[in-house]
Amino acid sequence: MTIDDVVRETLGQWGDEARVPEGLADRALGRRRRNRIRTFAVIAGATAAVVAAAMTVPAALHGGGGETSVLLAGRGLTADGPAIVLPEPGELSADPDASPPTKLIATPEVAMYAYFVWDHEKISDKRQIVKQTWYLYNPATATYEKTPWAVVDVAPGGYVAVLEEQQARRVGVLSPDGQVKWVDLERPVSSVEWSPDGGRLLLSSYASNPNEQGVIDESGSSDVVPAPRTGFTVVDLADGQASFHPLASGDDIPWRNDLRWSDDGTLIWEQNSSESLTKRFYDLEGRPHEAPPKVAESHEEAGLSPSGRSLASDAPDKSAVVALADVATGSVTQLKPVAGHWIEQSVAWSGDDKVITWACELKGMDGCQGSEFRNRLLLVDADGGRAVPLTGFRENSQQPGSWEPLFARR
Amino acid sequence: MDAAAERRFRDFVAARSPALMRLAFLLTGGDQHAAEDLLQSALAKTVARWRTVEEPEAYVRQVMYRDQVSLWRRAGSRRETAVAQPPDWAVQDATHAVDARIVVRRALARLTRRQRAVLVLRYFEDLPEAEVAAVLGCSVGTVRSTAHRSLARLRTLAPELAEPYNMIGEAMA
Repeated sequence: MTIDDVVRETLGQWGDEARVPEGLADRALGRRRRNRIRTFAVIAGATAAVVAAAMTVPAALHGGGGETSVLLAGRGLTADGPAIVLPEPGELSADPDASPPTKLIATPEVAMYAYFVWDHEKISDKRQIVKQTWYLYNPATATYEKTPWAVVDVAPGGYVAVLEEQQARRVGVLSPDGQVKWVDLERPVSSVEWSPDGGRLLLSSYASNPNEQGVIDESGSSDVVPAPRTGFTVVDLADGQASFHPLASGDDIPWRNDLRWSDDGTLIWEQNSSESLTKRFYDLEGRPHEAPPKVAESHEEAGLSPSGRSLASDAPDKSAVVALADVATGSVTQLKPVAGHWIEQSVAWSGDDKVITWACELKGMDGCQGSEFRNRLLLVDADGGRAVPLTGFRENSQQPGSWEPLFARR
Repeated sequence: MDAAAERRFRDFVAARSPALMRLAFLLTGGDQHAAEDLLQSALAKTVARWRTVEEPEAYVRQVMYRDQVSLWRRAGSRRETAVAQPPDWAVQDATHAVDARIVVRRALARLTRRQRAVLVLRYFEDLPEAEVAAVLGCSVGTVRSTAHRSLARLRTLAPELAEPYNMIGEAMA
């Protein structure tokens, strides 16, 4: 045996002693984690069947009606009232044994008005479409019900905007009676987000279907399916005006990067994946703009608490993933394991004192029972001292058939 | 990174992390902690470029190799010590085979990062010299001379490797 053989054999045997740590993907994504919920929320995924169903404009929530009115830009569009009116008074409502939940998930401050189940639809050997099936809460039946919409967003108070296909030519707002009021658009759009005040809609456009993706083969490779962003449209619901502005992704990468509102609704931003700031801001004309304080420093979805007092952020060490930073003093509260759960990600604030998180069942000191992808929604006190499960566990959040929530203020 | 891309990334990591971790482990001379850091850093860089990376595994491997080499470059020759503390010598009454493996591992762990990277590329990855040069961003001549020096240093660190040699630790007659 030559020294070459000895080295070769030694390396081969030695390498087998390496242990694969848990959570590699999570840690790599940790510094670049973006709003998974919102991201999912704007991935359109209509099948032909869904589109066909949408064209008949069924009652959004089985609330009756079913007729549609199309309002052209400039002729005004005002919802008669929220499509989803939750019962008063607002109390904590959970369904801790169900995944996805069937009962209303809500705190006195926020509610999970909707969720979607995602899946892949293969369109060729190498291509597939990410497809979503949306469920909205129906107060009349006190459960979540399937809808035909490809994309849904809910504004504070229960106003619902929808797209009927993955590259939609119009955006709809649901009325309480199940009617849909439509605004026709100059360019096809693939995402919709309500402004914080519920007065405008922000819609992102792409040159091709951004839901299309390559199928990963055994080597871990897949086709790159470019879908460069072309720009955005802001619809003003008070007057029905819709204006398109060209705006390519600042990352210069031809992939999905949906635009979203700033907390005060004066700016828009996109995910920034190449520099130290997590978000890149623009004004409503699409001109680059300085980031507001603090918000571009965090990857956590929950962001600033309602009063701006606390910022959900990355934990400073490995004893936790999520931390809540006091904006004024800089003091940090790490969300360490609580009530048998390891907290993985912040989802939304419930007031300034509680935060809704994804959490796995704690195993040992810092591990997850099963895997980190087996997780549930958990309401955690901002001091990290107490937690209440809101839903049952998703078996694997990364597998088709899993679900994602959409929260908004009540 | 959008949700679909994130899923693809997670699927990739789940499928390929054992192989990538083996590589990181060898590159760091058997230091589990340093290997995790090396791989995690490479994966984070891969996330940043995920949308444009067509061969993720090759990309991660290249980042790990180059990170090792650049560490070596930045650190300068005075820092050309192994990052890992190799295990203690086997006790005398251990089997010869175990002794031999420990001797070689200890010697590999004491090479410079660049020397070890070249040996891993040549003997673990089984890449021809030209491909090793491409991965490390150097010339074929540099690869050849580094490999030669690496093996020579191995022999110095582990005199037992003087040929002829067999893996059960007994000199061949």
